[in-house]
Amino acid sequence: MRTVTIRRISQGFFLALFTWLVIVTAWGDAPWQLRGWPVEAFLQFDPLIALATTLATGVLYAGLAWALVTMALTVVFGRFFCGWVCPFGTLHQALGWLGRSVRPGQAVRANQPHPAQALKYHILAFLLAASAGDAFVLASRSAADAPRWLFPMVATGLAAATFFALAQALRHRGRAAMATALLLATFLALGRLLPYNGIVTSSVQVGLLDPIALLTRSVALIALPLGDRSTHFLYSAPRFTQGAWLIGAVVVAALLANLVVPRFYCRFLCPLGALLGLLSRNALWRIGQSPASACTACKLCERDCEGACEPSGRIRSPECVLCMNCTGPCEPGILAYRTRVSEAGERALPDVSRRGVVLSLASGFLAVPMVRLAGRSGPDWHAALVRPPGSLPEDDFLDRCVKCGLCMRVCPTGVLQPAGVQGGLETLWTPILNNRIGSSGCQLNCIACGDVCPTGAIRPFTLDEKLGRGSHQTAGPLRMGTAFIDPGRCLPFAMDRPCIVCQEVCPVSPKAIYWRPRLVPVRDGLREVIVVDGDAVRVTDPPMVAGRYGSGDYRCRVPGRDDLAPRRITGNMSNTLYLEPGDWGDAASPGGSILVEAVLQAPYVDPDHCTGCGICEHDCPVRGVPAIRVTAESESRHPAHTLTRVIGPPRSTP
Amino acid sequence: MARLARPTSPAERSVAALLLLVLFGIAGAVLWLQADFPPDKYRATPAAGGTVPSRPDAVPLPVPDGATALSAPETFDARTLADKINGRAELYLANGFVSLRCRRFTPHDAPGDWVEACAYDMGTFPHAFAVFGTQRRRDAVGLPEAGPHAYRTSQALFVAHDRHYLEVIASSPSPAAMTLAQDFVQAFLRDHPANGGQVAEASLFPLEGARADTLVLLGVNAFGSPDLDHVFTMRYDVDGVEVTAFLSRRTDDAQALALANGWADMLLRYGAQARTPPADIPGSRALAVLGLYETVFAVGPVLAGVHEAPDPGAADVVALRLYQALVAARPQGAAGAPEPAEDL
Amino acid sequence: MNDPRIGRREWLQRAARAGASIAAVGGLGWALHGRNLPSPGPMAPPGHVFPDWSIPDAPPRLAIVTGRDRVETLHRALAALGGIERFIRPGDRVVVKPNIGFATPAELGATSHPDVVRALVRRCVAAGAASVVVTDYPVNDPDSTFELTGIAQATREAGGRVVLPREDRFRNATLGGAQLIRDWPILAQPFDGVTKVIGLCPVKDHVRSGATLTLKNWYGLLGGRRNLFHQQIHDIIAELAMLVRPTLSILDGTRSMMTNGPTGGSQGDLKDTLTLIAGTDPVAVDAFGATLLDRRPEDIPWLAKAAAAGAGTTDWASLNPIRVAVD
Repeated sequence: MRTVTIRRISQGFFLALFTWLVIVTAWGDAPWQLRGWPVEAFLQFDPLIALATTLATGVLYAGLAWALVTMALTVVFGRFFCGWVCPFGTLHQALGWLGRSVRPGQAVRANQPHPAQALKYHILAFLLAASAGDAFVLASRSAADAPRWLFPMVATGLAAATFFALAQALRHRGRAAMATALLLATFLALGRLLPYNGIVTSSVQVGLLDPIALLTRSVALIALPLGDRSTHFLYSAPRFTQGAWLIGAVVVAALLANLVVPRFYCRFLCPLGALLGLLSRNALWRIGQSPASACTACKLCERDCEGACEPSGRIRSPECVLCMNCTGPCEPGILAYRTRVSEAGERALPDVSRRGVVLSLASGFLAVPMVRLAGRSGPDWHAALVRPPGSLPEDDFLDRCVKCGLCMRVCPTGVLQPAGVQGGLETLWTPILNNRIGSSGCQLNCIACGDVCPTGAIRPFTLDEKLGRGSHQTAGPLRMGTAFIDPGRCLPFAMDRPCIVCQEVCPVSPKAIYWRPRLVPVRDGLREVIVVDGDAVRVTDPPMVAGRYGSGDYRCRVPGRDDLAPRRITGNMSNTLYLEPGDWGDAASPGGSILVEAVLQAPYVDPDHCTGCGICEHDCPVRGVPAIRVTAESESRHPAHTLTRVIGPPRSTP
Repeated sequence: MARLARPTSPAERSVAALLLLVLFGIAGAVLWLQADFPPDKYRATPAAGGTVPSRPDAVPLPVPDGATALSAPETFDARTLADKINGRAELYLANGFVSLRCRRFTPHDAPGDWVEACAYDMGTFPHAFAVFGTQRRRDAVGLPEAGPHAYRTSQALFVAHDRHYLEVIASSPSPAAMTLAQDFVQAFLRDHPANGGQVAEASLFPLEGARADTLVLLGVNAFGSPDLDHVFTMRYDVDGVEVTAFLSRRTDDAQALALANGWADMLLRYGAQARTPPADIPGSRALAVLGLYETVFAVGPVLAGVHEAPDPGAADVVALRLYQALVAARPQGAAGAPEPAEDL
Repeated sequence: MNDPRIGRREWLQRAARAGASIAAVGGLGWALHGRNLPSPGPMAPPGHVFPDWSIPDAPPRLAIVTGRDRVETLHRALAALGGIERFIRPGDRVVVKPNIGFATPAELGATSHPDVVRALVRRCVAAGAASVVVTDYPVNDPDSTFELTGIAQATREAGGRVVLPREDRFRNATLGGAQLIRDWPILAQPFDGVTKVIGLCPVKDHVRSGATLTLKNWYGLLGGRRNLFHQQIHDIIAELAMLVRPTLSILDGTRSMMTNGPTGGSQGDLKDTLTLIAGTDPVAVDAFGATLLDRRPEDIPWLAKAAAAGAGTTDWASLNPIRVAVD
């Protein structure tokens, strides 16, 4: 079997596996549900996610250690992941193949290296620098706190290394010395200031462009909800995705771009490809010519070259995705994947200027404090940023969430949705609760989101922990927020209509929503009696809406006669009220008056018991803007957002 | 475009085979992983409509020697019981059900067989006895080694013991499975020494003509009457006619009398015909309902009678025996015979 | 390149580098691998947040001085208690905590009067205090509040030092036995190494708590979202009484805010009550202060709670107060 065939099998296999794993991300133990399927596997084998979160948190979290395997294999074999495994790359390759020119010359031209291929390294530098703020703070803090002798030693070593690096880069010793001194002074100054200013920090944004996170998100939130509209296999109720257009636009644009340039995304944008390209620098096996003298310059090798890495000349090895499309067509048969460096020479480093990389690094590093200065994860936190239960505090959350959308896929109600930029730019596509869009709010007995999160942004939590029972009794339940009633929109408050749905659906015990009786005269409730006929009372205009008062929630009494029991209204026509049997004597007689009252149940929220699950908001009959809404007050992850400081039993007096 | 493909080299072929093996390996690993998840991961005890305090005191189940547990113990409470035994849950709930714990075991020497042991915590022995007695199987065979309230069928064991009611059901009537079931019962009895598991009312029934192992406690809603609870029944054989006698100890004489009258009046309302009561039982009432015969009376605080006897003569015989037994059992200070009830 | 030996050497070098980078990445990954996620840091351990600044083994004393000039009444009150020297010894490091809650002019009586701050700081300096710090955490913007009330200037004129409530001057603390002051930011740094503390407060109506008096005045040491404590205002004042045991409490009732407290806003809210109280028992000082607002101590629940917590007695008369009248 030829290598290209096996490569295609491998790509098909991994694409199918990837799709299947996203499909089975549904809570349950049926074969098509979560069971033990390793649904986070592709994300866990992704070195970019591992590297960025480790930079930001100092911890290579749990299953993300599998990325070390990918890294090691890449160091040995090159970018096999891009050409053989990556499901996004497979889609690009397939579409690129569809769009390729039938004329060999044009196909070859489409696969020539382009200076814009450097862009992905800049994206990588920007994203990693944005993730590295905390690592930098940690380094400068430990430098500041290190023993006296350690710091000068480390500083001298760093300074020397910087000087030599800069001298090589700038090709000017004087300038290099000056720049080194400047950097050292900045580092020393920052070492004193940074640890305590709380603004230089990390933000993991690799999820925006990481191909695995991007494709997981796109399949989970766009492809599956769209595809299932007619099959109803996955969702019994139609599933919606808030802000779907942007997620969809990104993936569709990335896919369509292949019709212009094959593997457009991989060549120009993919930060994971850039990282793997750098890792493959010392690959033990690589594509190369031998003997170079036999090359006929037919360029057939570049007709289907996926990486645009120029195998016909000095191969750009960081761009090579090991598609093996060059070895087959090579007329003299000199191109092969072997241990020797190409005799035609190779470019082992990406074609980027150091200056540009420094610029990208600096921009990424500085972008985070600038975005954070908006205070969105501080005092100006957004009330709508209601995170799933088990979410870490916002700063820690943004150090981990890679926007993959697995939590939203597994959420049984679809209440978890990709956020927009309410909580600052960084919150784009991170999970929040949208109680309007799902089939319900957050389900009381569900722990699915914490179970699938690959990075621990939503930490794994148990049902006992979520419900605050067993050993978690003192800590209480995990709260996402608190429901607030809007009396201006709530039917019993604003419109004298009975309702109390919110109290009924409140799932916690004791219920967080309770009601107090509210007795109010209805509009034009005081009416003159025209005729009394048994239990029917004919009253003056204005005409009433027939049946309005027959619901059992309305009653009638004789004003000024508190000694007479009010009588429930059993029905009404435009000018007639039918009352339950009662004995008013002749208190209500023609010329007298009666008063129609509504007996309402007005809902109230007890903040001690509300967990912010949002089921009340979802089921509120006032759908446009629900009359009861959950905001992030009292969320467990931020003790400072508490509404009440619950105190224990009274102090015993000394 | 047609171009002769270069023949693949042996090295290429073996690499291809190796890579295919790797893919197969990955597929196998994924398939293996998907089956590997904690058994109770998707069965965590939920809070049905509220936060239910967990019950760490649910009945612990022993693992019998020579057996392996097939699953983690499952625990059900009043809110979730219907998930396990949908349809029968009402019987347990009406009889003071506290918790249910189930687990499956397989014997080492017959791995294909298994038994499922279900231990119902009913709160008190009478409750356990009630659910034990009302569900007695037709093919029941006594099981004296598990105590007086235990029997076996071809494929299961049933035991009322202290506050517990055990059902141990085997996957097949095989000796291996049934031995394991017995072992489980013995281990359970060892772990839960009984303290007070007798039914005082059992001794009030006359022995003459009584059929063995027919004592049943109807906890609530006995004979379809919402007023009758805690009613014991026992079946008697009178010349081949089966007659059910019942008795129920009430709080005082007046209540017993009122219930007796209430029961008779209710039958009358539903179309029963009064008939001549047995003369030897003062204050008794006798009725005929659709060809079945009822007798009811009170002896002190004890309500008693005969229910749905197919023959009036047999009904009167058993009623009289029951009356005499109850009178004999009355404390001496209580004036020997019950006070005649004038208003009956 | 065509020499296979060169190729082999190059390959070996490459293999070494590859091996080294795998080892480095793997080792680092191994070292950093874990399942630990950030958990909320440990709660500040319960204990004494502040030392007891009261003068030990001295019976509680109370002076009630009537008069129109608050500087004169202050001097008389200090004299009645045995002179400032009884409380401030040479070398003492002193904090004076006035009420600097709102950015309003002194005439509106919403804050401590700068004249009395100036006089008190001068007396402390004159008694040989090594340092006199004036601090508070205002409700309004700190910088402008200190200046607008005139207290910053008065302090500087008297030789004291103004310490603004900068973020880094708060420390999370848990008061032993407290239910509310648990792991809560306290304006603690200005009190580091301090040996004497004087509370200085005007007499004000306070809608939620009943009255702003010297104990309520310690609310100014609470940081964070302290307005949460308004849900349990009486409990928090009792805990503040446990938190701070001052050397001396001075209540300036020369002109009291009778209504619309604690901000007032008009002269109509103020009334000449012409009394200044100083004492070592803050509960007794405040209990008498309540009478200036025409309230009984029983009407103010936090007074009883503070007394129950052991901060003093509401029966101010039992201290045999020294009464002085200035004409």
